[in-house]
Amino acid sequence: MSQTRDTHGLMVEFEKPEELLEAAQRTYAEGYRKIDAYSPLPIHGLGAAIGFTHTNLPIATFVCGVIGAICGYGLQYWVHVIEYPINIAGRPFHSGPMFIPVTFELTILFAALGTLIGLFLLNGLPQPYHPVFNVPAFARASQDRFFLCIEAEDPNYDTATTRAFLQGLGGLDVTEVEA
Amino acid sequence: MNEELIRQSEALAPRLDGYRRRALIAGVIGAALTGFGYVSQHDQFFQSYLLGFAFWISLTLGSLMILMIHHLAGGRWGFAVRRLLEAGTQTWPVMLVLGLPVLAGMHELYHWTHADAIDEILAKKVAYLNETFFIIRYFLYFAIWGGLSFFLVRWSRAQDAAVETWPTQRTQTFSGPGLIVLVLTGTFASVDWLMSLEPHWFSTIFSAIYLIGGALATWSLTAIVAVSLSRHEPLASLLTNERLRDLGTFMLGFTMLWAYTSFSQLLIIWSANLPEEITWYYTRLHGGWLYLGYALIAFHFFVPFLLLISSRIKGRLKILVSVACGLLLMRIVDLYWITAPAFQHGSGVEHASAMPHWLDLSVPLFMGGAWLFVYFGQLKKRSLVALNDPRFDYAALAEEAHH
Repeated sequence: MSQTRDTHGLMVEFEKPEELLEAAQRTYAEGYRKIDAYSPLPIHGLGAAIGFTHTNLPIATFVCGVIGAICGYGLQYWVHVIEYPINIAGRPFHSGPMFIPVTFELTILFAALGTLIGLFLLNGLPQPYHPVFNVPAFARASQDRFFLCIEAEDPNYDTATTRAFLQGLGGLDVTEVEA
Repeated sequence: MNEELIRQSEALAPRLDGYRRRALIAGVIGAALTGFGYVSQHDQFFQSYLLGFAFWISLTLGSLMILMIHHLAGGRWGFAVRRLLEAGTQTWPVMLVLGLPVLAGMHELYHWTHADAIDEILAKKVAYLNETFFIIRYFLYFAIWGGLSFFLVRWSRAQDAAVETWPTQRTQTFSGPGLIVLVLTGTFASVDWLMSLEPHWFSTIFSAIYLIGGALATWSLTAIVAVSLSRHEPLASLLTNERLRDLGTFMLGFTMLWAYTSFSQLLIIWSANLPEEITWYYTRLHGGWLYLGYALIAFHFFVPFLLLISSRIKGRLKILVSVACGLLLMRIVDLYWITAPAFQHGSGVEHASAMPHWLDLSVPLFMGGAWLFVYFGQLKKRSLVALNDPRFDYAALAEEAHH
């Protein structure tokens, strides 16, 4: 470990979800953008409060769904019409309606996998190390406490003024997060 | 608060009167054309008449269905459109009257009413498919639907006037069994009026397709009316863009449900390829009917599906209203595809034309005018927002909407 440790940011702790939501809104209004909020439960409106209003995840889902549909139909067409056509009770080799259930299933499968993989990629997971865990109190972020962190990368970040601002939000402790 | 809401609703009366007047004009034009058609195109008349009736009664049933689902499940979307749905259920008396010509035209529509058409199979169905029982069932359905609508609206009125919560509790208790009764009667009604056009044919999912289609049409109409009322108080505070998008999401859900059930029927019958079942699709998958079927796949499923799946696209009100109008039109096309081929008998199926008669447009116009005239009239009578409902707090929602 080096002697002078870098700072990831400053973190403040809250007891109630409403307090976190209000603090997040005030922090965003103050002009901070590199912020993150941590909660053991989903809080309606928290994403928007920290400026997270847009996600590309639905596009990933849709594109993967379309690829799944093409694969599903294409696979059956290739098998039943091109590669290994079998006469089943006189039905046409290219039996469109019969191909739909598998096409549908593969659409769902690909869309679901696309969503899952997209979720990991867009969230930057897996992430074996994250500085916020250096704060001992943060263990309760998965139980009953709510945290707001302003990161040092934020252009408005200044250790003294940011600390004073966070202390004015009415939370419990304000802690410096080691990087 | 309540006085304010009533005052705001009353201020919208001229607007609703304007819609009413337009409905009346459309209805009168449609009635004149339909009357002319009755005299000049007697053979075609009843076929088109059944199409119009099947379409508009499905909106009455859809209103009952969605209203009771809302009472059972709750949800903010329902409070915003409750009055629209209640007004929709109150159209049953006009549909009861408008349906009488279907009974009068039984011999033109249903060939099981002809004694000489009764073969070995139909003889076994005579206990159910006979004229007297058919007429009795017609009135029985309307008695039940009227009863459902009567109690739902009666208790809704009671809640408007009362601070106690018993009317809401009673409505909730009533809606569970009510929904079951509605689905059962709706099932039998669609078997009577639509499936028995080809009495040898049967499909167990047929009624589900019809009722889901009715609910889809109701969502679409509700979305159109909701968007136009959302510009003014008192509904402006409730029908935020988020709520209107909810209506689009329900339209998406029911579009998919319609596609799922319609396709299931096709797949099962097509792959089994049994003579007693496949005849229905044989007609509909040949000639012009095949292309109309493709149009249904494209415009009753893919186009609305792709437009409604994105929350950004369906959040744009113009697109939402356009999709809703398109879906209403496609509902008529679907019912046309279900009913009209039944009247084409004999050879030449391969080259049959799917061209609609002008009466297929004038009858829905006539009945739609009547239906909407009653609908907007009922909408005008009461506050556009439910009052005193213990499950929802108008003031809190309105405040939230303004933030």
